[in-house]
Amino acid sequence: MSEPFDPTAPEAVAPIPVKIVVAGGFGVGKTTFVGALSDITPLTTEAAMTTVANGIDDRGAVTTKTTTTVAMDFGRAAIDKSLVLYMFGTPGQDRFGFMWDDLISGALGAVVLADTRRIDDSFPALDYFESRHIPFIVALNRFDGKIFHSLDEVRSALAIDDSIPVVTTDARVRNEVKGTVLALLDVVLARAIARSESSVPA
Amino acid sequence: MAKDELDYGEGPSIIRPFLRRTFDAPLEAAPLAVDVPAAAPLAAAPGADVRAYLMTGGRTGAGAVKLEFESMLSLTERGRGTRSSLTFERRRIADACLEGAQSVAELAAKMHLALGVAQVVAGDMVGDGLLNVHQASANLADDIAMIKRLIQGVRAL
Repeated sequence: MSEPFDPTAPEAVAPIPVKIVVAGGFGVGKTTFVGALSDITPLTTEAAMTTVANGIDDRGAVTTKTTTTVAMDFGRAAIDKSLVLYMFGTPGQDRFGFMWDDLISGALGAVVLADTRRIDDSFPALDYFESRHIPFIVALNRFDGKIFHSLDEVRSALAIDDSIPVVTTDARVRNEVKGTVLALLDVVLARAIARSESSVPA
Repeated sequence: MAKDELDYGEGPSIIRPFLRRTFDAPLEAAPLAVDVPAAAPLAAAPGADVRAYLMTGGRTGAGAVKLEFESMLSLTERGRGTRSSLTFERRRIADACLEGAQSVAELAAKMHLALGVAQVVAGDMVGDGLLNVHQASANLADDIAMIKRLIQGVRAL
């Protein structure tokens, strides 16, 4: 459906975009995470939202949120001349489900960013990615360098499959974010390899 | 960018007044009253005077061509040639693409359009041959070579 890519056209400088999604509750550090790896200051887009969120957004840290749009921040990192990585940070609450199908369409995978003090904020994202068979990992953001529970405790609290990596990260630190994205891409690669092997006749 | 008589991007313009706030002010500058009654869904439309989907003829989802948020768009020759006769969002999108390929998400962010709106309008423009799309193939998740290249690239960031 897209125009064939013609490398001789003057427009051919456009790189091919690949996308990953960074999901998690309000205030968990999604935008910081995206910004740590992005070539640009994360940009904000809005998606229209229904009134269902009125009266729900009352978590202490976000009491200034008064609009009825969902802000979705994203950044990008040029990988090479013809490949650019887009990272979309999206609220993880289930009431944003209306736009997740659009968001996840074509995405390679997702990082579920979690705060161990509010671990249940990540449940809707986990449910979503599990049900859609989207490759994902769980990354615990260390606030002030602290993780309040062991990785095993978190894994057990999240009730996720042993095959899902649970890592710690620091959304403020580029190298940590890089490592987290690489952990996700390893899962993506392993899945692709598994699929290619299972599709080869024995 | 060539200055034409119709400049929808900035400065004094002939934009219809009820649309102007959407164009000229970031959404944050136009907060809605917090205490909108829950029974008034229309008043809770995206933070501007104009309801976003007015621009899409009420459609949501995809335009004529389904675009992803990250799809990169560039002007076709036809888009370049007819740019000055396009109107409103189409014109603004075409203008933005003059500077080089833009993703749907970047267009939405720069123009303060809801993502879904940019997706529909740009998708229609692709359908009309005004824009080229550059996006990953549908089987990207199975493209082992591409994934490996991505991993190497991220490592090198």
